[in-house]
Amino acid sequence: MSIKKTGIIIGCLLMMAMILTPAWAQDVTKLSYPQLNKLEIPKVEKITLKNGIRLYILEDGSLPILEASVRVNCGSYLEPADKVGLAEICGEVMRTGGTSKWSGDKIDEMLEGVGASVETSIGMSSGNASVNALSEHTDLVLEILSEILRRPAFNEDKIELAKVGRRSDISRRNDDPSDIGSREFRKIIYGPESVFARHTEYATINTITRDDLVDFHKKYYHPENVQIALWGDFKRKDIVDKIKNYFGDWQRGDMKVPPPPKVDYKFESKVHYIFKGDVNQSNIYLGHIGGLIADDDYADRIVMNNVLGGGFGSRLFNTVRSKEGLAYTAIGFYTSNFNYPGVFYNYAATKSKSTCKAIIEIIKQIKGIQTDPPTVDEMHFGKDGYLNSFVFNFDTKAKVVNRMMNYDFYGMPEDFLQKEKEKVEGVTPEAVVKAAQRNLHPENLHVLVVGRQEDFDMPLSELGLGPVETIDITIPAEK
Amino acid sequence: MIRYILSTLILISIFLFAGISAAIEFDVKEFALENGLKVLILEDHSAPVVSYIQYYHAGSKNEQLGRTGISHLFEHMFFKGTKMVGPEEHDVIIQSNGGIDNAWTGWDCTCFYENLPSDKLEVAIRLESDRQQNLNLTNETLESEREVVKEERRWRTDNDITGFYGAIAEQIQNFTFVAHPYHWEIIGFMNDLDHITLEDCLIHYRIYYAPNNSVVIIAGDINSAEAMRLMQKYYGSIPSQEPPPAVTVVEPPQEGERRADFHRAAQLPAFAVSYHIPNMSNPEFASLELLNNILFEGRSSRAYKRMIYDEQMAQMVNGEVLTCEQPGWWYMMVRMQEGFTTADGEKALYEEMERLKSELVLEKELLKAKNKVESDLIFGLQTNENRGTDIGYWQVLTGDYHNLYNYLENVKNVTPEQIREAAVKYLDSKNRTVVTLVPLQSEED
Repeated sequence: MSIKKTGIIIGCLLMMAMILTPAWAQDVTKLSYPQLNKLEIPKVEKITLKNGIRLYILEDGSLPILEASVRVNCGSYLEPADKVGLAEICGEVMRTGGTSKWSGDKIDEMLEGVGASVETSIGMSSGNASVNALSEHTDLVLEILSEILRRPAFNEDKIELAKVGRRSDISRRNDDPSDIGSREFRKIIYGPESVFARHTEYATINTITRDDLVDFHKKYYHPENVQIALWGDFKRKDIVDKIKNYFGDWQRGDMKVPPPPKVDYKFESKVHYIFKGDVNQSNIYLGHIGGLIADDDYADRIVMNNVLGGGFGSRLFNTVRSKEGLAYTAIGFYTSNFNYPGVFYNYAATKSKSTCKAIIEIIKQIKGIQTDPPTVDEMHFGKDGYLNSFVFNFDTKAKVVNRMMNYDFYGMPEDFLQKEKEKVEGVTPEAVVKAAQRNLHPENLHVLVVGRQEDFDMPLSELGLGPVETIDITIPAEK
Repeated sequence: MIRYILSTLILISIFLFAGISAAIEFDVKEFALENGLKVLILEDHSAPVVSYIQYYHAGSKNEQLGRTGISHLFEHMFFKGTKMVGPEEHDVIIQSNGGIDNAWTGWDCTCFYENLPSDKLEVAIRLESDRQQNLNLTNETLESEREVVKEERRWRTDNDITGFYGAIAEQIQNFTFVAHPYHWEIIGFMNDLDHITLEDCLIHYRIYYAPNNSVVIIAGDINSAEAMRLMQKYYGSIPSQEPPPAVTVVEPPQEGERRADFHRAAQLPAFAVSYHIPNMSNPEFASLELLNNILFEGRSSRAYKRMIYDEQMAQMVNGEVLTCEQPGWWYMMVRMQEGFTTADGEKALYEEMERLKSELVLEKELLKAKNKVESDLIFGLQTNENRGTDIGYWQVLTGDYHNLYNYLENVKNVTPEQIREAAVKYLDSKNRTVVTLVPLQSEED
């Protein structure tokens, strides 16, 4: 048999095999795809009004709706330590307590009568408002938004209601083990008094007065601190005119808002335990301080996170969940924030008798990523997942316009995302290992377990991770 | 996150309210393969992304006592590989291609989905068609996934008292239904999870995971003809199966209030209430949805305003009219404030219900409820995944997605008299089940 003939026969066999091979049996990695249609990134227009309000405008006539989000430069980090909860209550009662023009109940009726919503809140690092309405009700919701942001009445009844709600939250805060864990782990990382971790107590709620809310609002709610993103079914000129109509005569203030404080963190290895007697599962948290989005190796950490603990296919998922069946959820992320460090945290909830086994396995995986470079498949998974999903950063108008508002607030370049994409394309397995070595400290982890120690597979003290400190989560009684 | 159970109801999504119909009317193209697989396609070229959603008409309702939870466990097993794809590799392939994938199980159906850049549609079709026919079920993968599901049950049900799938919600189902398979929670009883065998899984796979028991929805920046060419290529040769056995159990009428106490460590009391109601295809369902709206939706709703604002007795009041294929239940949950008992809460809640039975609701209040349904609908239509999920849900559970248009029409036409009739008929104490959370701490005190 000649070589040529053999070649023909093999070729025929291959062709027959291809014909006989059902479609599902073809190698999924060898599929060829059509060209992705061009990604048209919608253009957001930024306008600054004379009084300093920054607008971000994006027309979208696909549905007959108007949506808006507001960001105000303030946050709970600005409230005094003996009045924790002030900012949160202020954010709530701005909406529920009515304005100088309408009561809160009247606003409820006006909005709910047309299926619209205007909501406000104040979080750790920003004040926020959101607006949803059919576009035919644009004037109504913008006027209500303006009244709420500019002239809240801070009705005493609604303040008391908000305080009753906070007291109730305090009394229930130890019911759910995962709530306990996430709250206490932040305190372990940032410190119990830190503005990034502290929480309300009966005493702090009781000291908050209407005057405090009025003062807080008066201090920070000024047009130069306000950004408004608007998207939906409108014409650019019309919506700008309406904003000018409802917000144009808002006078500037003179308060310079201080930034959040620096975080002082010292690495150490320690085990923390919280007794929860009525559960059959341990909630486990491991980690230490995290980083900033502006860090040089942020792109390397994106890939590192995906490989280590970023969901399906990650090392933590594959081992703790899929291989060992130890947990329903097993995740690990080195998180980053714009203006204060994030947290490196790993989490799993496992049955009590596999508590220490799960801890050991998670630490093994953290150590592993510092020594074992990602395989070709892992790099494919860790990078391509990010790169191929890039279009999903632009699949809704809300994502596009809100991102621009946030980047503008933090002074990030508008094309930050595109630049990061280019950086992720260039990440190598070695860079992932270096990022893990630089940023992860498996020898200096805080471990927190919420559960029943008597049911664990071994005492926490035998893990060799440092002293075990029992955290008392008894709620200080209301005086 | 992953593989979650159907959390809230996939309520009502695509309706055609007068005045906005043109703006939200979708061009749904309908196809069917010879093996019975139904395909619905919604082209949307606003962004180069696509959602691929595959429903199977099998949920916890299709289970038997002793094997409860198998639908949800099987949903997990669907990620354990095929002859061509290794365990968990499905997720890795989808994510490497820039997508996300997940699945959920409900009382009446199970749903798998992928959101991808639109050029990668074929990989979703390839993978879903593969696991419809070539799932690699082994004792090893069953054992590991069984443990994962048991952890999920501990996390979602055992240790979450008042969550939507928490311990009280499970108790309410257990007491509301005595014969119908809605008696058990989707996650199943822990002991049953321990006794599901590989043979059970193989039977479940053969009976329910056939093309003629499935609906696929493709929504996004794709060409319908090309999408159907791929569907034919990958699914065309999969044989159809005998239709699954129908669930014929009928829940006997409830003839008196059922009550149960539930003792757990907690700070404050809470209670859940349920009433038997008709299924989502019933014309009265629209009145019930509006009734729920009038009682619970928004700060100006009756129960919210009275119990939270005016009397400040409750921390949370919530009601959901559950969209079920067969006669289901209306689920309500109230968490009390300190200083108030569940008896206080029940009294206030039932008094508001009595008002709805004795007085006609004002047109203005009814219109407000209709507007809320309308706006919820429109704001829920902003992603391919939501549109596809909702259309598919109505298609699978009612046999025709057009029924949601009928539903909208019903909502639009509900009168104050119909609201009162529905309140009298369903909010009857004899039709009621109550589960009360008794904090253990209080008992010790």
